Amino acid sequence: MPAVPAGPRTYEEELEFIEQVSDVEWCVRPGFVPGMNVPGVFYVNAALRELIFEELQIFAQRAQHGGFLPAVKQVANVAALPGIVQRSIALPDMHSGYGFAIGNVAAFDMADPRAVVSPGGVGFDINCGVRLIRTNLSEADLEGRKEALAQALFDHIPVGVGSQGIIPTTAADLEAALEMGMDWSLREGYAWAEDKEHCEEYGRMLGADPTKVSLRAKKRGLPQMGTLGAGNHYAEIQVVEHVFDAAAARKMGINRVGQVCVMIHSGSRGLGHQVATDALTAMERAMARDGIHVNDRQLACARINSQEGQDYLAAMACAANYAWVNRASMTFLCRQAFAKVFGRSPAELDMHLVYDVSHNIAKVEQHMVDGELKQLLVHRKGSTRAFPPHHPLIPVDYQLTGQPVLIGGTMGTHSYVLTGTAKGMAETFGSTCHGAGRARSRNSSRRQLNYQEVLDSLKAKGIAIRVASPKLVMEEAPESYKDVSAVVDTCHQAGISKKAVRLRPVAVIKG
Amino acid sequence: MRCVVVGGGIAGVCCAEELCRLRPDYSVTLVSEDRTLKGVTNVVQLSQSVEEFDVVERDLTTLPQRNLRVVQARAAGLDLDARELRLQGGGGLPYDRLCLCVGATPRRLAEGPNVLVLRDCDSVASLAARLNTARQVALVGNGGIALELAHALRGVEVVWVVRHGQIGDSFFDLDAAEVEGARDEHGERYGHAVGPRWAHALPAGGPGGDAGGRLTLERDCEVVRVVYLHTGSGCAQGTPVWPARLDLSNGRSYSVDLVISAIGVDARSAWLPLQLERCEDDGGILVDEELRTSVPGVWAAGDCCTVRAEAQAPLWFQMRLWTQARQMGLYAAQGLAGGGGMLGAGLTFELFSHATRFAGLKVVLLGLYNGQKLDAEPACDLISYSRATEGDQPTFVRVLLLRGRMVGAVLVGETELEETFENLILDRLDLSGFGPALLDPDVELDHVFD
Repeated sequence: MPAVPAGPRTYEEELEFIEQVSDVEWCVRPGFVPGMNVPGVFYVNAALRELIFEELQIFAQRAQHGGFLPAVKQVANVAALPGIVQRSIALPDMHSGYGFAIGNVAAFDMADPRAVVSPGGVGFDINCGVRLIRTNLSEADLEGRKEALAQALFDHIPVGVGSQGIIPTTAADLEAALEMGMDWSLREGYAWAEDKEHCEEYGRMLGADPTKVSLRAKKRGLPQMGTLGAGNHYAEIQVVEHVFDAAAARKMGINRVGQVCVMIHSGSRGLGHQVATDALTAMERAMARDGIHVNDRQLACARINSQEGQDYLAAMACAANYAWVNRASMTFLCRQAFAKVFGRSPAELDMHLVYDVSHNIAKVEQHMVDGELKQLLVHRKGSTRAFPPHHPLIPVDYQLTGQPVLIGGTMGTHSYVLTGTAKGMAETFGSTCHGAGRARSRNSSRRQLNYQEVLDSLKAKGIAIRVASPKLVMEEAPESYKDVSAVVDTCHQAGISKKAVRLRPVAVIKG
Repeated sequence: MRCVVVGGGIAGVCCAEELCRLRPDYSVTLVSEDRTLKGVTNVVQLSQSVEEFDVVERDLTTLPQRNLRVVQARAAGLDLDARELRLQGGGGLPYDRLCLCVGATPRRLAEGPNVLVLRDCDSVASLAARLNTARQVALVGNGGIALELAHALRGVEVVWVVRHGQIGDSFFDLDAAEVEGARDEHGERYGHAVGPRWAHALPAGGPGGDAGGRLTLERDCEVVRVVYLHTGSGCAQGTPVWPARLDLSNGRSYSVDLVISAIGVDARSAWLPLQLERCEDDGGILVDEELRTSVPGVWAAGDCCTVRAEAQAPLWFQMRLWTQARQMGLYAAQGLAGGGGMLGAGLTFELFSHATRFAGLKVVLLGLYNGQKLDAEPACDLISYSRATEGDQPTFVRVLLLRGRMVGAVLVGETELEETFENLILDRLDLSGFGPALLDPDVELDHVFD
């Protein structure tokens, strides 16, 4: 067992392991948590830095008992996983997640028999992602029609199983969708052939094996197929507010300020959740068998080549395909809604897919590691692939600009289109941020919460202990969100992606 | 295939419509006593299993399905051997498959002109009219309707008689009710109740305008009897005349103009042959996990059925609600259509879920939100965390964990947590490591479990 410090470290002692590398890059040295195989790295600018350090400070103050681990600890714990290469990377929108932080990128060497795959490194909402659809409309065209358009989108969003579903689905459809991804959407007439070209993996992960998806996961997935979902999922009508890189924007069919676009943010929802939890359970057993030790139970993982590892990757691919079908279905519905409101066909409205990115996924990719080309399993959780110009896996249209990266703001804030860079390829396995994220804390006085354990025989029903937080005044706080601009600016400054377009929301449709 | 659905309520109409959609080749007959059918509209999916909707009344001639025939008649009997539904006034409907959606009758506290039974929209108009002249009313019952009504009755003195120790026991306990109360004092608009927006029909202020009447709560007691007093007879001049008096088990008595009875329902199953097994408690037609009765070819859905205890998933229980009527109607249709297949009803009956509104706030109830079915669990295995946030948009959240796994939740206000909690409950993840931080208002839980 690695040496464990005698007691919880003070905040100052923790800081000794963290060192600033550049204006926007920080390094977490081995020793910060036990057993780190590689260092951790995180990208934050001055505006975001405070949030990360404050989180660590609070953690040190509460002497590491319970609650959520700070993101920086999670990034370091991932650095201690077997088979990880180069470094455990956190992007500016990092925040605490299950096992892995949201915004964490970690790559594992496929050639190393000890290397692992971890469901926590993908996330629960597998292939949660964003797509952007352009139109040839201008903001002026929306004048007086915004309400009608929003209503039409509402009317077209399916509401699950039952007679109201616009896109009816059966158990057989679900099986096919899990295996085929957007090829199913295309076959059923819900997608355009060219949509696939502008999706990562052409909207279909080939390793998908529906027999590796549990019945329970399918049960959760069937009624949600083609639905938007609640929480942070949305469809948003946006207009181009600023073009940073006219050449790149032009390649995307974005040629002017005021141009109307549609952004769809959704994922695999309950099905993804079940695939993840099924795998976590199976892997806990595999870890005991294979003698895999991790710093945090949430980091359940299995060797990539083990049965559990392969089963998870096959099921994860199904969940990813399902998420693409969801986004494709919603695209179909958006196109219908626009056609209805503007009395022109979606083709006439030039409603092409600019691109579709995945936030929560693990993929086999080739990267240079210490001057050597290696096959890696790259986990991106709350992070977007951002491949540079000339990369073979990006579409022909974007060969000169680099892969478009879509950054959805937290609902109602700005969104961005970025492009991938060679520097990102070298430093972050071709990855960049995914969205605004959410700050954990913004008011240190509020952190002094004293969770009081109050023994209270609440009810005869046997609720034994009631722990109530003090009543709090929920503040209206835009600063409570990690400002999407600060996140994007950090990535731009670090050179791991490049700003192309900024979009402003004009109407939001929530599932 | 001849399918007959009996009942023009939500379960029956949803069943018939879904069946027509699933099997355009079947001939479907819907038998309704009334010309107006209850339908569902504006379904809003809050999460996978939580939905809000409005109930609308439609004329029975307006259903659009081509393979649907609506018969306005009262079912008088059922011949299971001949497979025929007998109609009152003669005639019968032969069937191959039958779904009973005949609803339930509200229990009546006592007979009498001043006892109003409140079950659904039918009685709301009558209540509204009578409240205009009422001075003091008694409200008996502790379900969602009673709870909503206690908030909705203004300008009139209310005596609320509750059998349990807590208010709103059937829905959620005093914790959540306190948040409601706080909201209520600010004179917020009324929301709709357990299902439809029936409370809108009530007079907003009562005769005394907005001056709120006093609410007297009588807990842990029952109504012993209701005594009717002849109006104007034998009362001394100048003293108020009360038509009724309520005697309670705690020895107290109240004089009232009106007694509102909201003490539950009994299934309307008395007319059915005895081969159909019933539940002893409420007379409900017993059904299995696929809503099949004990007789082949006969399904039952909605308030008239009782799901066998052994057929209920651990985190689901039956409550006679509009939401469950809709879900059961849709699911029974799958059975009548020839089986829902491997995926069946998905997880609809795996997790109890209900969305409603009290005093203008959204209320979402998930799983064993109030510790239902957990009596046998050792107290040390159960833990509950709650939090309340105040301000313009107050919220209340309470979760219940059994051995570290979330088994239930109450969400009041715009918490945006319904999908996250539903996922966490269905995931059965061990959450014990998080402790009370699970409800830390600074943590965006939907992001953590994204």
